Amino acid sequence: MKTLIEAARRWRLPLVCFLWMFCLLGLLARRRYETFLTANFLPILALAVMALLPMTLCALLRRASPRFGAREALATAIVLLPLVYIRHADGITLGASALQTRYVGTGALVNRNGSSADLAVPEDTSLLTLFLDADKFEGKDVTLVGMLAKGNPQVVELLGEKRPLIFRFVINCCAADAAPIALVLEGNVADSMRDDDWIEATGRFRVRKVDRFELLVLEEATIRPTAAPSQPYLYSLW
Amino acid sequence: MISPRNKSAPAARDTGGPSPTDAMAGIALAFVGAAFLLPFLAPDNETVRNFSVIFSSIILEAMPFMLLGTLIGGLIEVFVSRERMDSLSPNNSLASACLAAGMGVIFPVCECAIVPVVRRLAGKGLPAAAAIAYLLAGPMVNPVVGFSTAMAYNLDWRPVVVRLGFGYVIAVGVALLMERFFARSSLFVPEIAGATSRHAHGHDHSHEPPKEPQHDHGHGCGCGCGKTQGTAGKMVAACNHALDDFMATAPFLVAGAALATVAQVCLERRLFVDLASSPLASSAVMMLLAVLLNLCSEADAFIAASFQGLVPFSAQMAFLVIGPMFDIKLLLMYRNLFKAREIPLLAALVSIAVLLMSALLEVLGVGI
Repeated sequence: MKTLIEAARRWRLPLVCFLWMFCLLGLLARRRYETFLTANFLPILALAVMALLPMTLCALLRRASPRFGAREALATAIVLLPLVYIRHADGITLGASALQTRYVGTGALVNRNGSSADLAVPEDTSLLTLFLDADKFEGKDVTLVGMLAKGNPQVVELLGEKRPLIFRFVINCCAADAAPIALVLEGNVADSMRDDDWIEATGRFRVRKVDRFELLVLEEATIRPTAAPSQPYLYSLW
Repeated sequence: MISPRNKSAPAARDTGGPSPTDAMAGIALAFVGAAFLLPFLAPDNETVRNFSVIFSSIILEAMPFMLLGTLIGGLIEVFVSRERMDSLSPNNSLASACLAAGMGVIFPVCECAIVPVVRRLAGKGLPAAAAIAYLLAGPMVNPVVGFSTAMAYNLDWRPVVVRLGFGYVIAVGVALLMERFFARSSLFVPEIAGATSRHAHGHDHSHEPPKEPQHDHGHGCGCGCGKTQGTAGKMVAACNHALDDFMATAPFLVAGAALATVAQVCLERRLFVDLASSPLASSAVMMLLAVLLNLCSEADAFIAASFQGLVPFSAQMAFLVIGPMFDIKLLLMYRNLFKAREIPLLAALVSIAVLLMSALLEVLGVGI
């Protein structure tokens, strides 16, 4: 036990720094950070690694901490805790359950009066384009790719019946601020389809006002499964 | 070789014997242990999966800025003397608070980085009003936040002016009130409170005799880094300070992020819209939402803008002004700067000021 405490006194700071540096390098090397953050964070994360490098060296060179008790163990454990969750979150995307907590009716992004022309968007971001240029697309046939939610309590409340939705999350900075763009689908969903499946939906686009809320609707929608895009999230222009 | 910071820690800390705080830490350690196991015990649980993504996102967004903040704090500690700090600060509280609240325009620092920076600046004797004004305004009154707010509101200048203008005024007002209510020693944690400036006591601290054996003339950390010669030695000392600040601040950041994630995973945002029955209630609800969501000040405007048409403009502004000043994560990180009992008062003053701002916007009929 004494040896363990001695080792903790000597090595806990270098270990914390090293593990965090290793984690950030891993996220950078495989661009895994895009699961959580926008691509703009690349230089910030690189700077963080550069800040951690001398701190790790200093931690290695400095004397052992004078003591290692419950408080020091707690601080160390708390600082290391996120590493477990970052590992666990690898490959996980926010889905229908996150839509339920974040959906406030409009699809809740931003520039309802903006223009998709302001954005340099890849081709698979048609949902964002549609949202930004809603007036332009009103009444027109569109094809969209997104995730499926087989129902949503707020839509049930507003329309009085269960309807499926197609949705994607738009990230401004990180997944914590991810806002959903969701369209109500007026069409049949195959029983085999599940929440969070990737679908392609084709139908006529409408903006419907229900009470204070605006609902984006795809009328006479045909829905079929499709492959997940390389990037599950959409990114705002910021 | 630099020894760790804790020179002013209680005696129990140095004896190695268990204390009541150690017992509490032991209990907390058991909870953290359970948190470590959660992703392994329920890897496919939807709530745990969402928790993992959002918690990781908040941490990965904040940690780089906090690391850079600790490094800047370390450089301040080693390269800026108290005499220099005194010479840079205006003589009266109002002037120093006004100047500090606008420093974000030149040195934009986000809310996660600003705590370690202000910790070191206050430790150098920066007047309390200036430290608090910079802490509250720095993450909001800066060009980056101004630009992102403008983008979120389709380049409309009114939200930008309201947010940055009221943010500045509230930061200065709250800072002056806090300085008036509290002596420096009862406001800041002991490591910082010991560093006085000529503004606080009417004399120049650098001419006082050292109070502690390790007290470092002109460099208040007490670790001896002020005597370190050469740029390389000072850089090593700065890194050591950064390391200490990282270990002191990061646990609060992680704990705050975890609480914020619980709020994000469990609370449905539409409930906040339903609760917003009147303009003032809307503002109160949106302020609560900002505190619970812990959004970055560079991204929160996009969320606020998504509530257009659902809550009044005044409530959207309340959301945008209060968020960078305090949220769950910041309230915990402030524990590293302020004494615990002063933080609720700081939060109350900011909340009242933001509510008043919101009421004023309603009375004036400012909106978009």
